[in-house]
Amino acid sequence: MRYTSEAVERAILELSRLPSIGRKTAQRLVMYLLKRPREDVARLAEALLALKDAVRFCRICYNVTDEDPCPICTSPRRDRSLICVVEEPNDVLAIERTHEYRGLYHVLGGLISPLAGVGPDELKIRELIARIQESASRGEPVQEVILALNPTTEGDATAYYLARLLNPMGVRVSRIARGIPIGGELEFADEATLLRALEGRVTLS
Amino acid sequence: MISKTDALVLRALDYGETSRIVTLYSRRFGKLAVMARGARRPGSRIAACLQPLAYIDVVLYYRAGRELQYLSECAFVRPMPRWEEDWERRACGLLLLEWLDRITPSGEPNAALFNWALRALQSLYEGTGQARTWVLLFLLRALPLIGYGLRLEREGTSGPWAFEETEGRLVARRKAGARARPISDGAIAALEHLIEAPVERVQHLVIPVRLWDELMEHVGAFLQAHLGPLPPVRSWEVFQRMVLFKAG
Repeated sequence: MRYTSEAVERAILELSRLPSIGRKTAQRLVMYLLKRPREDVARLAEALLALKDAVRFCRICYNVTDEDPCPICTSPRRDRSLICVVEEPNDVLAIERTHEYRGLYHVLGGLISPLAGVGPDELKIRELIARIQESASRGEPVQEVILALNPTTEGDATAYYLARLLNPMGVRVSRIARGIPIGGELEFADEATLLRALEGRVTLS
Repeated sequence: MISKTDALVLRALDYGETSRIVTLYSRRFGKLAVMARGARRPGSRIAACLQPLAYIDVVLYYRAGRELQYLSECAFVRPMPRWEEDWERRACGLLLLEWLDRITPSGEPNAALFNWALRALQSLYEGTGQARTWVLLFLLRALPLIGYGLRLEREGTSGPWAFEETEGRLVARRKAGARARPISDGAIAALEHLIEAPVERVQHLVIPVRLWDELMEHVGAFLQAHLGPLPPVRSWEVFQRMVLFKAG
C-alpha cells in the first residue's frame, strides 16, 4: 500500500536506502518528521548536506574531519611516536572515549576480506607505510603501531598482514588484547575467546 | 521446530546494529541462511563461532520453506584454525568454502558432500598434504557427489587434446569443436591422478602454480557448463594481490 503523497513516498524511499533501515522504520521516521516543526526538519536537512559539503578525510590519518589535517594530527599534546590503526572513524571515537590513549591514529577504511574481494590495495595501507617512512626521515620516528582491529577472520588477516609489512621497518607492532569482557563470566565464554584470553594473560607483580 | 545440526560457516553479513546473517552448510538441512540476533553485542557467546571456516554445532528455530532461519545457540565442534602467517593455507581454506557455497543449492542436504568438505578442511587445518592440491582434490571428488562426475574419456587415438567441458571428455584437438578448450598433457595426467589415486597419496602431489591455474580453469568451466553461470570466486585473487602488494 502506497501513500497518496509523492513527497512522503520519496522520503520513505530515500530513508530506506540507509543501512539497517527497512521500509517500516523509514515510514515511522517520516511520520515523526511530518509532526515536527519546519525548523527542526530544516536543521536535519542542513546537517545532512553539511556532511557532504564540510566533512572531508584527513590527509594524514584518513579520519573524518572539518579541517585538514584533523585536530588530532595537528595537536602538539599528542604522542607522535605512537599510531593506533583502526578500521573505521567510529573506532577512533571508541578509543577516544577511554581518555587514556594519547597517540595518533590511522584509519584503514576497511579490513582485508578475501570473501568480499577486498585486498590491501583498497585500504590505506600504502599510506600508513609512507607515513611511517616519512616520520623516520623527519627525525621523529614512529616507535609503535597498535593494531586495534576487530577479532574477526578479517581483522586477524589484516593484523597479521600489517605485522608482516611493518616488522621489517623496525617499528614495534602490537595488537589490542582479546579475552573476557569486564563483567563477563568464564563459564559462559566460548573456547576461542578463553584460549586467546589465556594466551594474552599478564603477570601480576 | 527446534532442530540441531552440525555445520560449516560459509560467510557472514552484518545486519542492523547487533545482528548477523550467517550462511551455513549444514549436515541436516544443506545450505541455509540464519539470523543470529545479538551476535555482534560485546560479550556475545555466539560471535566467535560465526566466523567463516568455523565448524560448529547449531540449534535452530527451523521452519521448512522459510528463507531465513533463526539461530538459538551454537558452539565449536573443533577450534578455529590458527593459520596466522600461513597465507596460502588460509586462502585455500577460503577458496574451498567459496566453491562449496557455489556448487550447493539452498536447502538440499548432502551428507556425503558435507563429510568430504569436512575432511578437506580438516586436512588444511592440520597441514596434511599440499594446500592448493586439496582445493582441486576437493572439487574433483565433490563433482560425483553432486551428480556431475568427471570421467575424462578420450575420443580419438592421439593428442594434442582439447577438453569439452559440457561432456567432460577429451577430444583430439584437430577434431574438437570451436568451444573445446586446449588442455596440456600435464593437466590431463594431474586430473587423472587427482580423480583416481588414493587420497592419502594424491594429497601430497605438488602442482606448479601455472598447472594449478590451468586445472582450476578447466574444472571451473566444467562446473559452469553444468550448473550455469556462477559468481566469481574472489579469495584466491585477493591472496595473490596480498602476495604481490608493493608498499612503495
